Amino acid sequence: MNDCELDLDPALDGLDETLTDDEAAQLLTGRIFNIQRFSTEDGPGIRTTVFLKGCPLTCLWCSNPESQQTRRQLAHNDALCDQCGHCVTACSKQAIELTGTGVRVNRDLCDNCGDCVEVCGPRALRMIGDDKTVDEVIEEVLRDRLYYRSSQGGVTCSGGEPLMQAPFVAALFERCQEAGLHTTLDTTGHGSTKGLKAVLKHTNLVLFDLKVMDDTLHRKTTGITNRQILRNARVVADSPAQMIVRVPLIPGVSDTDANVTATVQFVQQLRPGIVVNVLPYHRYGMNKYNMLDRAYPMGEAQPLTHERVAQVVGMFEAAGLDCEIVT
Amino acid sequence: MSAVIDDLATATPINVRMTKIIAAVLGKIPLAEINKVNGFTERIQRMKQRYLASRPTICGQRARYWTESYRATEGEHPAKRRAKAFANVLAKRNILIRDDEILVGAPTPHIRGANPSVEQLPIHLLALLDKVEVTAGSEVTVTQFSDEDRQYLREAAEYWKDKYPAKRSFETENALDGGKMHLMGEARNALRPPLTPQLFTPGADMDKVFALGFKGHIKQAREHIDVIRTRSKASGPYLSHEDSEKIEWLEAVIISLEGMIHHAHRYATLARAAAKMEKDPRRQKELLKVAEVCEWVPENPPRSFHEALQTYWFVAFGQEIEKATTNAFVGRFDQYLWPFYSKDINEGRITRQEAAELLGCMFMKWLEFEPFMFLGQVGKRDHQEISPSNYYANVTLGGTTRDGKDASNELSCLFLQVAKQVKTHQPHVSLRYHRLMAPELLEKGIECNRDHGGGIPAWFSDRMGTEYLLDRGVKWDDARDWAMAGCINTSYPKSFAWVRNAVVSFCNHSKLLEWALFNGMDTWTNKKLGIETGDPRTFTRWEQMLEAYEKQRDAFYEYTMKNFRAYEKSYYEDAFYFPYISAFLQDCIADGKDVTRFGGRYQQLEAFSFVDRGFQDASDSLLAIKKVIFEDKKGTMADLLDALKNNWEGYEGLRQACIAAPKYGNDEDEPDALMCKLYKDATDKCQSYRDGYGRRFTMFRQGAAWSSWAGKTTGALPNGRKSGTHLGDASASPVQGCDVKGPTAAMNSVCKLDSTFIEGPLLNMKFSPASLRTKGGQQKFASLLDTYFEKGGFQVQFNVLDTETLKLAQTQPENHRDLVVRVAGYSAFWVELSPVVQDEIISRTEQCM
Ligand code: SF4
Ligand code: SF4
Repeated sequence: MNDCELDLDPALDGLDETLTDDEAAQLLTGRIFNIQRFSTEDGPGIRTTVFLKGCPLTCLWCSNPESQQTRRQLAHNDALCDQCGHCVTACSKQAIELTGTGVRVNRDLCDNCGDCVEVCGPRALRMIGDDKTVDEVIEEVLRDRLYYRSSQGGVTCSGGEPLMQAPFVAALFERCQEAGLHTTLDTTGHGSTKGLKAVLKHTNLVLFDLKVMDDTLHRKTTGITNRQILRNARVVADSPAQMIVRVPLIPGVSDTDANVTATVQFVQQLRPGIVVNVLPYHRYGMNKYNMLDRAYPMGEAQPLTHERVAQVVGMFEAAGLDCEIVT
Repeated sequence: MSAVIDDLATATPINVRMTKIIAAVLGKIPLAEINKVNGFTERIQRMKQRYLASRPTICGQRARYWTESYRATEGEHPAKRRAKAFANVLAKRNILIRDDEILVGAPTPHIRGANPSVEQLPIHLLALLDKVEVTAGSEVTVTQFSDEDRQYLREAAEYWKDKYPAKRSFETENALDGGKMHLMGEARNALRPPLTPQLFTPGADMDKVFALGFKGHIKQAREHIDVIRTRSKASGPYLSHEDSEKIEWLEAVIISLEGMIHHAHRYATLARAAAKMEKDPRRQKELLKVAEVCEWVPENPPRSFHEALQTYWFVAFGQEIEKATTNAFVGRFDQYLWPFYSKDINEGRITRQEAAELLGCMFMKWLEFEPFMFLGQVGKRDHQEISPSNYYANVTLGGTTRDGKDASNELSCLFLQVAKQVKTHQPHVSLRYHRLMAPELLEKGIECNRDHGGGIPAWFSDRMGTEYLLDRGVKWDDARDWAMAGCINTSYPKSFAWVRNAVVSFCNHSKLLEWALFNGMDTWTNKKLGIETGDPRTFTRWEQMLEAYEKQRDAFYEYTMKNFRAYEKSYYEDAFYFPYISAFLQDCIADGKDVTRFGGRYQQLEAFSFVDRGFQDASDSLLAIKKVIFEDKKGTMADLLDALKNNWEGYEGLRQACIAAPKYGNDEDEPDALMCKLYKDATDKCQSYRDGYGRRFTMFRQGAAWSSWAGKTTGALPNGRKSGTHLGDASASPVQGCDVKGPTAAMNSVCKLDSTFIEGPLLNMKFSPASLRTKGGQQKFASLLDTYFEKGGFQVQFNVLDTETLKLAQTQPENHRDLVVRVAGYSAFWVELSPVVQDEIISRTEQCM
C-alpha cells in the first residue's frame, strides 16, 4: 500500500447510488469502541469523546490496545470473573480456559462470535466494537449539550485513528457544527489527505500527535513510516483549524534530547503560535493487554521522572513554544 | 433534525415562579488570606486525638436528675414539669472544662456521651440495661456505661415504666391490625421507629437570640403573661383555660431559660476556680476569658464572635438535653455569625487565625453530639448499622439573603477552610449553590470536596430550596432563609422542629413489586402482607404487571393511612412539651404555644411524612420483565418466578438477559421515563391525602444507608439483583454499578424526575481526587455543577475517594480511624461502618474525570 495515497473509505462501500449526500451521511456507520461522556482531557471544557476502532499504527506504548484492530474483539476483565466456567461450556471452539484468577482466550481458535459473553454473569467478558450511525452518535452527543455550553466544551473524535473512518467523522462533525458544538479531532496524523481535508472542513481543533521524528525509529516503534504524518501536519497547519501538537514522552524513544530538538524544529516551521502538549508515558493500559491475551509490549519500562518531564517542557519553552503537561 | 433532544423540556417542571437573585458580593472575599489560615492547630489536633481515642458512652445523669425533679412535681402542669426537670439537670449534673477548651459545655461529661431519653421509652431502656454491653449491628460500635450510670438509668426507668406519656401511642401501634403493622416493620417495608412522640431537628431563630439574649426572651415571656392577665382581668375574675395554659407554658419557658443562664454561670465559676489553680499563664488567661464569656452569655446579647459562638452552643446542647432525639438544625451559620465575625475582624479585635481556631473548637463540640435512639424491636438496634455516631448536625452555607442578594461571605469560605482541615464526619455541611455566588466560595467548596474527601460540602440548588418552601406557603423572605436539616430535609430553621416522630410510612417500592410478583406474599416473613393482585404467570401483557405493582402501592398507602388516622390524635396529645426549644422558634413566645402544640410560624412544614424509597430497583425490574419476558421472550414468567425464588441459582442466562436490559441512570429515554412515572405517581398519591388538620403531607426520599439495610429483607429482583444485597442508594441515584455512562448521563437522568414536592432527592457521585487537582479540572467540575442545577437538579454530593484507599481501609481499620465517608446524606467514620455498607460504597461506580 502506498502510504501517501491511502484512501480508506470502507464505510462508503455498498451505499445506494440514488441516496442524496445528506441521506448517505446519516446512514454512514462508524465502528466505535467507546463513547465517553464527561471526557475532560481531550480538548477544552466538558466533552463527549467518540473513540473509533481501528488504527494503522501499532505503537508499543499504546494504552488503548483494544482500539487497534478494526474488527470486533472479545475482551475479559479478570477482576470481575468469579470462575463459574459458563463461558468454557458456551464456547464451541474450545477457545477459553480458566486460569484460577480469570480466563485465558486462545486467540488462534477464538473467532469473536460472542457466545461466551451471553453467559457471563458478572460481565467479565465483553465484545469491543459497536457499529453506530451518525444519527445514533449525534443523539447521544446532544444529550450533554448544556454541559458543553457552560464549559465551552464539545465533541472529540479519537481512536484508534479517526481518519480510518474519515467520511463518518466528517459527517458527524458537520452535524455537530450545525448544532453549534465545538469539534476536536484527536489524530495520529496517519490517513488519506483527502479524508483529512474532508474532516478539517468541520473541525475547530486538531490534537495532532507527533511521536518520533526519526523515521527508522518511528517504523520500529509504531510499525509505520512517519512521512504521511508529517505531510498531514502541514495540511492541518495550513487549515483554519486550531492546532495543538501532542508529544507522548516515551522513555528511550521520544523523550531523548535528539527527538525533542527535532520536534521543536518541525513545529516551529509549521505555523506560529502552536501549543505543544507533552503526555508523559503511563502504564494505565497494562491491564488491557491482559484482557486481550497479549503481552505488554513496554515490559518493565518505568514512567519518566518529574525532573525529566520538566526538562523536556523547558526545551520546548526555550524555543518559544507554549508547552503544557497533560496527564 | 430528529435526534435533537430538548434538554430544557425534559428538565424538572417548575411550578412556582423563579426566584430572582441579585448579584451583589459586598466586599471581595480575601481568599488568599483565608487559604493561609490553619484551623487544625495543635490545640485542635489534641482535641481530635482525644475524641478518636474515646468510645460512645451512655450517661445516666440526665435521667437521674430529670426523674428526681419529676418525683417532686407531681400534679403540676406538664410543660412546667419538663421545664423544672430541665433546670434541675442543668443545676446538678457534673460539668467540666477539658484541657484546651475555649468553648465550653457539652450534653454529658463524656467526650462521646449519649443521653437516653428515659421518659420516652423506659421499657426499651430496661431491656437494654439487662445486657452486659450493647453491640451494634456492625460489631464496631460498642456502647459502654459505668455501674453508676446503669444504676441511675435503672432507677429512672423504673419510675417511668408505667407512666411514660408515649405508652398509649406505643401500645396502639403495636396492636394495630392484629400486629400486622409490626410485621411489615420486620419486612422493613412499613417500618417505622416505635411510634412515640419525639422531637428531632430543632432549629432556632439565632438572629433573635443574638439580638435579645436569653434575658430579652424572658422579658418577652413576662410581658406576654402580663398582657394576658390584664386582658383577662378586664373580662372577669377567672382565667380562661386557654389563657391559663399559655401562662403555665410561658412560665415554663422562663424556668428553662433561667436554668440555662444559671448553667452558664456554673461554667463561669468553674473556669475562675480552674484559673486560680492553673500554673501556665497562657491557659490561665484563656480560662479567665471563658469565665468572662459565660458570665455574659447567653443571658445578654453577645459582644464578639467568640461570645456568639458560645451562645449558639448553649442553645444547641440545651436542645439536646431537653431531648431532641437527633439532628441539630444548625441553620445558616455563616449568615447569623457574619455580623460578629466581620465586626471583630474590621475592628482588629480578632485575627483570621484566631477565628479559625474558634471554629475548630466548634467542630470539636459538634463531635460531642452522640446519638442514642431506639428503633425497631428491642435489642435489634439496626439503626446503629445505618448511622453510627452521627447525630446529624447540619450546617448550611451560602445561598441568598432574605432580600435576594448573594449571601456568600468571608466566613462561608473560612468555615470550609476549617472543615477540610479538621476533617470530621460531623457536622454535615450543605452549600446552597446559585449562579451568582461569589466565585471564591465556589472554589472553596470544590477544594473542600477534594481535600476533605467525605463529600463535604454537599451541593444544593438555592432556587429549588426556596421554591420548595414557597410551595408550602412560606413567605418570600422567609423562604430565602431555608436551610438543610437532618439528613436531607429542606426547611425553615427559624421556626422548625420536627416534632412527633412524624412518619406515616417507610415504603420500599421494590418490596411492593416483590408482593406483586408473588400475589401478595412477602418473601422475608412468608406472610401475606400485600394484597392479592393475581398470579403473574397468568399475565398476558406487561401492563398487567405494572398494574399489579400499582395496586399493591395504592393498597399500601391506603392501609398505612388508615392506621395513621387511628393514632394521629394521640400523637399530638401525648407529645412532650419543649419550652426551651420552643423559646427560640419564631412566634412561639408571641403565641404562648409550644412547638408541639401548634406554636411556631409554619405549621405546614411540620406535617407528617411519607418516606418512599427503592424506586430504582422496582423500575429497572419492571423494565427487565417487559424486555426479557414479554418482548424478547427469553423466558416465561414462570421461569422468572422460579429464578427469583432460587435467588437466580441455575438461571444465569436469564439473569444475564435481565441485567442487560436498559437501566435507569444512563440518560436513556425508556428506563428513565418508567422511573419518572413510578416516582411521580407515588408523589401524586401521597399528595392527595390530607392530615387531620387539613395539611398536605411532606415527602422524604433521602437515603442514609437505607439501601443495604432494607436490601437484606428484599428477595431477588428481576433486574438481576440477588436476594439480601443492597438496593439502589438514596432516592434518585442510579443503582450501584448501573450508571455506566458517567456523571453527565446520571445527572441528566436524575434531572428528569419531578422532585417538586420532595424534600430530598439525592444524587451521590464518586470522583478521584486527581480529577480536582488542577484549576482546569476544578473549572470543569464547576460547569458540571452549574449545568446540573440549571437542569433542575436539587442536590448532589461528591465523594472524592479512590477505591484503593477504601479497600485498604477495610483491611487495616486501625490505620484509618480518621477516614471519613459519606453514605447518602451523612458522614461517618469509615471504620465504624459495617462491611455491608463498606462494600456498597466500594461498588458504587467510580466516576473518573
Ligand atoms: S468469542 Fe466465541 S469463539 Fe471467542 S471465546 Fe467467546 S465463544 Fe469462544
Ligand atoms: S463466564 Fe465470566 S465469570 Fe464465568 S468463568 Fe467465564 S469469564 Fe469468568
